[in-house]
Parts: sequence; C-alpha cells; structure tokens
Amino acid sequence: MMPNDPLFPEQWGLKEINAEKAWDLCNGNADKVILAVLDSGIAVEAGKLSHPDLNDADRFFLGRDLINHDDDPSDDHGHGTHVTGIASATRNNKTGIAGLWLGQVLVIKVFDSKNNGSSETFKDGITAAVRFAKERSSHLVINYSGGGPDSNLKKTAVQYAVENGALLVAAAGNNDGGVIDYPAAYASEYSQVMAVGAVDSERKRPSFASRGPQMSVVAPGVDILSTLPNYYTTVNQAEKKQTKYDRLQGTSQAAPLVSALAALIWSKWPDLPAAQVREKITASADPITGSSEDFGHGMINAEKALT
Amino acid sequence: MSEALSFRGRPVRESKRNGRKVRYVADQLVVKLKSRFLNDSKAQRKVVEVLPRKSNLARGFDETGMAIINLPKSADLFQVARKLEKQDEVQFAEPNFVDSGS
Repeated sequence: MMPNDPLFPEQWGLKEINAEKAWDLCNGNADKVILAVLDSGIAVEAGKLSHPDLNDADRFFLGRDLINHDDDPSDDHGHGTHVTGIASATRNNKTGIAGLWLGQVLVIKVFDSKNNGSSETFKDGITAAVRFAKERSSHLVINYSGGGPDSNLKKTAVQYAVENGALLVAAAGNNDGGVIDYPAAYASEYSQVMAVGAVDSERKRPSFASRGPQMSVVAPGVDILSTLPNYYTTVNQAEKKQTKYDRLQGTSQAAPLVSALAALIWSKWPDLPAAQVREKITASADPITGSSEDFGHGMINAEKALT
Repeated sequence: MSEALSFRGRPVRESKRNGRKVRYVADQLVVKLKSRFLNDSKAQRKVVEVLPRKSNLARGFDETGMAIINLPKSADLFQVARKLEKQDEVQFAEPNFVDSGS
C-alpha cells in the first residue's frame, strides 16, 4: 500500500527494494525487536524528540550519549538523524518521508559533531544496546553506519554482540573503491555481521563506495532523501544541507535499509537466530551483474525476503 | 604523520597500516586484561606500574578488564603498548582508533 507521506515519491530507494509490497507481508510482532542505531544521535531539543517524523516517544528510545557521557543523544552533526530516518521515520503520518521499520528504535550516540567515534565508543555502544535488548527480552539489530581500522577492542565488542544473539549491520565504507572498513569487514568471520555496500539508481557502484570480498549485499546509497535535524548542525554548515529533510549519499545511507529489513524479518519469524536472518537477506537479494566484491549477493529485495 | 584532527578534545594522529589509512587518539591507550585476571587488583597495579610518569587513567578497569590510559605527550604510544603486551596478564594494548560515519 502506498503511504501518504508527501515525500515518499522521492524515496527511490524504497521502490528499488520493493518496500511497498514488503509492508503488505508484515504481520509479525514488532514489539520484540529493537533496532539500535549507533551514530551521531537524533534530533532532540530541550531533552525531547524534535523532528516531526521522528518524535514518537513510544518508538524512539533515547539511549546514552557516549561522546559526552550523558543521557542526551542529541544530534549535532546530522548523520545519525538521517540514518535513523531512512530506517524508521514514521510512515503514513502525512508528514515528510516513510521509514521501512515501524518498530522500536534505540538511539545511542557514538559519533561527535564531526561524525567521528572511536573503538571505545563503538564497544560502549554495543554493550549498551545488548543490555537494553536483554532487559526487554528482545531481538537486537545493530546499525553501525561507520567504520575504521581493525582493532582488538572492536573485535571484542563484535564477539560480545554475537554471543548475545545480535545481528550487526555495518556500512562497508566510503573508501573510493578501496577496502571495506571494520566492523563491516568482520562479515567474513561472523555470520551475524553484514557488510553493506551502496549502489545508485542504475544499480552501479558509485565511485565513493568501498568494495571487497567481505561484501554481503548492497542497497540504495546515492541521492537518498531522509530526515535531518530541524536545527542547524554540522551537515547544514559543512555540506550546505537543509534542515528537516535533504539528500545525502554513502554506504551509511545503504546500511539502515538492510537493518530495517532485518528487523522486519525478525518480527515475522522470531525463532530465527541472527545468522539465519542474514541468510534470508542474502538469499533473497537480486543478483547484480559484476563483481561480488562490488555487490556481494546483490541488491536487497524486501518483498522476497519477507515471503 | 599528521595531527590536524581531534577527538573529544584530544589530538588525533593519522598513519598507514597494511596500506590502510588509520587514525587514532594520539595520546591514549586501550588496555584489556585477560579474562582470568578480571577484577584482579594485582594485575591492574602491574599495568599501572609500567606506565610513563604523568600517565593517568581516563577510565579505570571495568568489569570486562578494559581501561583507557592517557599518556603524557612525550610518551611513545606504540612502545608503551609493546611493553604492556609482554605482561602475562594483558590480552592486548593498542591505540584508541578513530572511526567515522560513512
């Protein structure tokens, strides 16, 4: 069913992955799945969710700000609000855009106003997300639209997430055709980790996107319209973006579509372990002609994954 | 190496490792004890004893055996890490690597 969000027609990525048909197939229990977004936070003003498409306090839980060590994960960059909107902006509210996932979202701030984090904030973010999901006896999908070098600490954190049944979906990175960042590159070692690359509307790998043998799948990552804070942040100043809604590109924008799809799969089939959720996504992806280092198993197909 | 960025007010250094650009907090070390030494104050003390003067714990040992140590500017981060990794109690000692949103 076509949602009534006025900007939905501009969300080419949702059409590309057959989101509308997928929504018709979703009849599961979304209450037992948490999608944790580890990023630069979410639009928050005076301690309250402030974006009209991301302001449902029953869905969006404000987790820790691990940059400033407080409980206010307000986004001062814009990246996190954009990523969160792609995955889970409120749908059918006659406002802005539509998100793929309408269940619960935990927002944890691990990137600062320059969009940088560290292996320490990554590890702390994973720990906080696992604890939150455990307290609620929920499945946990972790979206990490970031990355960097391999490290013992990062790997320890991934191991902890895996041992606790979580699925980690990570952006492959924007290394201009270079190697895949970590933690995404752990996808070849752990069947509970996914490395997500980006494609444009012609299903080609954009020049900025990373590539490599660890690639799991790709999703739309160019010219992606989503939410931005309704106040000025780094992304408005540095990249001349508008407040509230604008387009960004990157494997960061591709990963949340995969995370949201994983959450939908888990809500429909709650008995699946994390590795099988990944398997459902990769097995249902539409192959793309070319190297598997560019596209992995191909473009995600939400309808097929939920059938 | 360059030192233009900062993370949480601390300088960030950039270098190359295995052909990959890596960035890390220039004066910070992540230390993790092996699981059998968790909450072992003797093992924690041993770590602290080999640190250069004017080092301080940015974050004391937690329940997973991890600590974050701020080193003085003059210290060689990698040399200190190598020294710590020679201790039987230490699982690893490494820089606090910087990630970026992509």
